[in-house]
Amino acid sequence: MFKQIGCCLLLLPSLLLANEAPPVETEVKEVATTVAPATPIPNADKLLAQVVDGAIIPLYRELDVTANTLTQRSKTFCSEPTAEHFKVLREGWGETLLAWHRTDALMFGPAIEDQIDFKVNFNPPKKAVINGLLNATSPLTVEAVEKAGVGGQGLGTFEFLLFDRDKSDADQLAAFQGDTGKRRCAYVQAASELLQTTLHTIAEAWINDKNGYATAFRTADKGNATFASSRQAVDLLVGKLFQSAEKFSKNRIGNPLGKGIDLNTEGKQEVLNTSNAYQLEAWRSGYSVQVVRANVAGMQRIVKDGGILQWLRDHNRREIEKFVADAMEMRLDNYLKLPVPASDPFELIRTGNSKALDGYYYLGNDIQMGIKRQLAKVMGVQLGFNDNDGD
Amino acid sequence: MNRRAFLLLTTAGTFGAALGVNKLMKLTSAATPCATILYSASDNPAGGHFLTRLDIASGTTDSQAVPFRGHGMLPLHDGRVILFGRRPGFECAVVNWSNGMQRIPATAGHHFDGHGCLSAQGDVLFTTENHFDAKRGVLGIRDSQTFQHLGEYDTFGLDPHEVQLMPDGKTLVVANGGIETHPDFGRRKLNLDTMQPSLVYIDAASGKKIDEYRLPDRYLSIRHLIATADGNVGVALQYEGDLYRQQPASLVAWQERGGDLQLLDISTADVARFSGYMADLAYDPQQHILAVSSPRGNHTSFWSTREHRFLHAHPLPEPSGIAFLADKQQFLVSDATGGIHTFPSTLQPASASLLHHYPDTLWDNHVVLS
Repeated sequence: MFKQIGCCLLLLPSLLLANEAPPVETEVKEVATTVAPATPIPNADKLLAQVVDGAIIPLYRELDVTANTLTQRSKTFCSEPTAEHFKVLREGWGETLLAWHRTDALMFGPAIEDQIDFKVNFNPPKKAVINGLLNATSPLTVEAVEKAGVGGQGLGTFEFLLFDRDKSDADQLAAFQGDTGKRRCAYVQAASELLQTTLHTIAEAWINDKNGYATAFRTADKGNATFASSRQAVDLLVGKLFQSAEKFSKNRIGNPLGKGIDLNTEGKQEVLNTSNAYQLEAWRSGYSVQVVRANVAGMQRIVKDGGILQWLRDHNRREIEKFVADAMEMRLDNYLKLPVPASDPFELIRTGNSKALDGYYYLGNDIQMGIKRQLAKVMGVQLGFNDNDGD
Repeated sequence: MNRRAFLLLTTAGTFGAALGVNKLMKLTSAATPCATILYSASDNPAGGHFLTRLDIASGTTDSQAVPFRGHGMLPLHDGRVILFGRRPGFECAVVNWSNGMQRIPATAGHHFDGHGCLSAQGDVLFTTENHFDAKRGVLGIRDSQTFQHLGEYDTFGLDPHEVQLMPDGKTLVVANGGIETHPDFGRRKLNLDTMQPSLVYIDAASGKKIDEYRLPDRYLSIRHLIATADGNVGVALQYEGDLYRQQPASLVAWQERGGDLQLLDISTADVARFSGYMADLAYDPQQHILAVSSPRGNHTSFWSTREHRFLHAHPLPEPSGIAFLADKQQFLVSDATGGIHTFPSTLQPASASLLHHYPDTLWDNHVVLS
């Protein structure tokens, strides 16, 4: 069923857009091309402002709040390490993780400045670094965690500290209790404070326009030091949407499931490789499905609340744009309507019972191909096999 | 550095001359007469990775699944083919078509950068590598039979990408892309503000730097190269500047033996077709035509090295590998949608012919003939 949905959504626009693909000419014509990107973007100023105000800033504002809450919960837990506070702390970590993953398609500008994104979510965490900090005798402060590098901080490290599949919940809680547990608690507190600071840096850059990136993005159509044109900003945005889709369909679900589907042959061919539950994002905590759902929920807000779909409908010049907007909206809706498996995704894959996850793979691929074959094309953005990963 | 072991290996000829190896190296494949087999890394549409060989005449293909995305290849005299891991690759695969595959792990703190070549005797394998924590580009040195690590040479620059042996059999030419990366940060480019690409010549026996060349624009990353039988070197470049503001002066450079490394002339309008990105290259020594693929620009381009200028370009979706078929006076081009095309080698624009098409074989980056 999932394959059929994908094929139906892709087929018609693919035909409509067939003329947009780079032609394989039989004879070369010497055509002088202009240097500047040619495709104009009407009302780009309104579009980019809406993306910032309707999606980017709200998403980062929420992330900022969850990080602040996580720090508070860390303090509460460490002052009184009870089972209830442990549960609340873990939930706080999960909310921050998901808020971060809702910004997955915004990995540009402030989110990657000085590789700050690796401070937020470096995976897999470096056990040797973490254990080194836990076993050392020097005070485990925010400074010490920061100095240890990206492998010993951020959401991945936090997950390593809070979730251990080899231990019962009681044993995991016990690791934070008593005199021996104080250092682990100190680590959690320091890591949460550092994470809050890091996330606040990114959020502030958008919300309060620190360093002027938000203004530069909004006003790209006029040209500025960061963006030569609105074309540059739109190419960047759509390229990041595509990269995010590639991650949530392939890296975060397809590879762990050990499967791939050939959408070039309308879903006729499926290739099965070896499944590997450890390739799931957040496999320790069991948040893997929520993570990919958060990726898509964030993408949905970017294209809907950020005004991209409405912009397409308002600029239905070739009578393709509205179709593409509707199809994109349907794809994202369908994905988020998928049932959340009642069982732990790690165990489902590990025990060979991962059928319940298949939809996330198929519909994730459908979103990825929809961006590549339709959204990018109607917005004049060139994506390709080697586009984002040249060598 | 285990230079002593290497010297012993090369001078004593421990493993003997590898008959026919030189025929299989890209250096001479530029003029390989009657090449019949093509090798390339490929993906299937589901993202599976393979080393694929194609019988050019019959169109028959044979693919060996590999556990990583490959990049460059090196056929060995005994029929095996080394597939180098795409950066940051922590292993290479030696594919034995009848008997599976052997894996070559990177040494601690290193990863492979995608290419390699053999010594003149064929008994030593050089691989481009990133010693990432030390921020050093190196050539790994291995026994080409056992793949035992023997030592390493400095490449005198960051991000060594392609290496070839010059026709004198003594000198290695290395393209240092100049870009700092670290596997902790994926493929993120960490030093664009200070990158310094270079083309470096190294004595294969000692590791001593013989010469180093740089281009005026340090944003032009020197990544792929071809050494001709005459000792000239062609270079395909990738622009790391802001294409929305400025096009590079050129994307192809040429160095006559003993001369300077020079950009080949092209107009701003023409260079814009290539989206700042050139990949594989091949050379027709008779007509002095260099063919270069531009997967991002969706064009295959042709350049006159005699006249030092761009000739013409042909639209093609995501062209990847490129090779010269000397017996047919044609360039063969693979593409990322499964096509294998040929272009006649001419100074004038000419048509492409689709030779084969494999919808489930997405050709990656390079081809090598044997």
